[in-house]
Amino acid sequence: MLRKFSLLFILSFALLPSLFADSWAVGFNAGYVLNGVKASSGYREETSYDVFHGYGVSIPIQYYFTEDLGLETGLRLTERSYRYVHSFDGETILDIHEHNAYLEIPIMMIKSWNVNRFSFSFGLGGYLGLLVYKTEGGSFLTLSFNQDLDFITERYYTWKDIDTSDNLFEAGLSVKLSSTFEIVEDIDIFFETRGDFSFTPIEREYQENQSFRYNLSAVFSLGVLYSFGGNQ
Amino acid sequence: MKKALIVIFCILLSSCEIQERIPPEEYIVDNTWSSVFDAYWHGMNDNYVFWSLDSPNREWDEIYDKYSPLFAELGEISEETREKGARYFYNIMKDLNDMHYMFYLSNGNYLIFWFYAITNRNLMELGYSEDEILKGFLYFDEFEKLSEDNNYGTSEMEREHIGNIMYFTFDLPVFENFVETSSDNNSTDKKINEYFDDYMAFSHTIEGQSTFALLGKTSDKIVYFGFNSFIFSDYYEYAQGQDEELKLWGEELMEILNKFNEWIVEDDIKGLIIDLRGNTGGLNSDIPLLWGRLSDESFVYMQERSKMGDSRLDYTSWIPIRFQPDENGLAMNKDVPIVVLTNRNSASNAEVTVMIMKALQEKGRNITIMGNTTAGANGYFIDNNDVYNSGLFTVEPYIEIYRTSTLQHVYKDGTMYEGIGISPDIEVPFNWEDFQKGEDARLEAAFNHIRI
Repeated sequence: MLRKFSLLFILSFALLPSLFADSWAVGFNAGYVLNGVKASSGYREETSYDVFHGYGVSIPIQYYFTEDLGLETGLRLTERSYRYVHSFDGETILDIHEHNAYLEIPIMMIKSWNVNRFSFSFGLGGYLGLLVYKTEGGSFLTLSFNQDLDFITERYYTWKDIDTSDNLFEAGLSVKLSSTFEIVEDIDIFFETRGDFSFTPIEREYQENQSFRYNLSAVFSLGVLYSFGGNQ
Repeated sequence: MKKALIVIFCILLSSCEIQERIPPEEYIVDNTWSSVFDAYWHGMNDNYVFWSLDSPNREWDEIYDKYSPLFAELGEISEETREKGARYFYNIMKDLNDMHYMFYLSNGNYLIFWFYAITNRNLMELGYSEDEILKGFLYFDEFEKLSEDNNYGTSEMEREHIGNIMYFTFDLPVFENFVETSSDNNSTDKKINEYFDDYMAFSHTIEGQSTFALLGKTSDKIVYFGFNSFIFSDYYEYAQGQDEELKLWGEELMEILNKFNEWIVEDDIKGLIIDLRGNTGGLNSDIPLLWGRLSDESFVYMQERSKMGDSRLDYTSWIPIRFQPDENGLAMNKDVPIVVLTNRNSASNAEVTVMIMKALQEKGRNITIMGNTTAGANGYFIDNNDVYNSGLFTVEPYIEIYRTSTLQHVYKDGTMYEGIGISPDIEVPFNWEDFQKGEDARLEAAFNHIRI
């Protein structure tokens, strides 16, 4: 039964494009991710969350039902980072940036407007991600001293273990704007800005009264698309 | 369709609920056990650092679910409900791993219950029942009885510390403020003369806190150094200060520290004994002052991490803590054997010292830890929870977490010793009867180990 269902599922995907296909595009893009977290620092003073830098790479796959309406999916790796700063009496105790990288599958509806060799598109959809690695860096005022009896600030950048407190899955909404320029036939370059709004927290729910953090990202990327198939 | 999309979008965004917290004192609404428990539970929830050991899942939530109705049943805090309320608090605290943990519960007029994690653990190990221990934490006279009891009162936890070692093993008058050196000593029948050709002894009490230190060198060039707490940085400050009396005491202790640092780099030194028995730790700034000449290279011996948010398991990564060698490049000969004496009350910076020794041992140095397992109180604590957003907190007039760790520590390889302690390489038993007679088996074992 399961085998039959799987076969039907695969066939439907294979047949759908041939029934409705106008065109396909596949490409590669890479860019910069500015991410922050929606979070509360509670009643703590001199504690704040801030945005931090990351990167994103992806292999977008687009399928256009019509000339200006399509679906986009693919595979992307997005590093979503944030900064945590805590000071005491004006002295920085912790200035830490954590980077959570997710392997994601987006799915988006795309609406395009074509003007000669340019096209502009708007996309709206969502994504599902899997946490693949974590890193952390920054400065940490340790409670150690040197021989002049001064505190030691340790600067570091390190891999961070994924543990049971981490939420391995992430899901969110994406909205994007992109502009494309056809450099030669079937090959376009594009610039894309995207906003991702996660509605799953960075942490697993492991306690009552938990302070959750949600990723909010702005992604700016450049890429190339190769178009094929359909009635081009 | 458009409307449906907007509704879905709003639902999804509103699901990102941000929990706003309030400080623990705001949970106090009246003079009931329930209020105090709420404040305590939330204060711990936000400030305690060892949740990775004590509530890796939802254990702390289960505590709330179990005890919230029980405390509610008790009603007002009163003499009638004192024992029951204290028992609930004791049951909540007795398994916490933080061995620095010291808790006081008051009704605003007098202390109604206190809890010392390390004392509790020591008494449990000696076979006392929870009822007996709880009584000790409820009533001072019951605690006095425990201290005088033949079992606890003769244990190494109660008896073996440098003050008693100076008194019983070396015949030094530790009950008064004194500084004595071998050149001051006209009496040849003191036992210290059997041990050392050259020595400096120090005993000073200020504001109820006693500092004992003994530095000695044997005729066969073995250096012995014992002290009860890491307080050298404070005396360093006294030595620089304006108070004439404190300045003198400061200079005396600095002379001992300087002499120690001189002796250990002498070419003819044959061994070093560092006596940390009953040493309860102290100032981190003492570590480079005391141990900077043990090695001329920097190396990682420990890792440290802090809370990084209000949730229980929000931590930073582990940050490596490095040994700071002497800035003048002076270091003792790497072949000189070192013995470190420890017991069940060697805590905090005494254990940090043991971690340094273990790391040196792994680098091939001839170092032996001898005596008994240490206390297992490795986390550093500082007296302000705003510095790292963690550690001790107070809810006036009821709760005072007088001591609890601010940061977590593990050995350089990631091994956590909190609540467990570091085992010695060679165990040597303690016997109070013999110790009182001046027969210090652990010290003898240390000398023999170096001499053989």
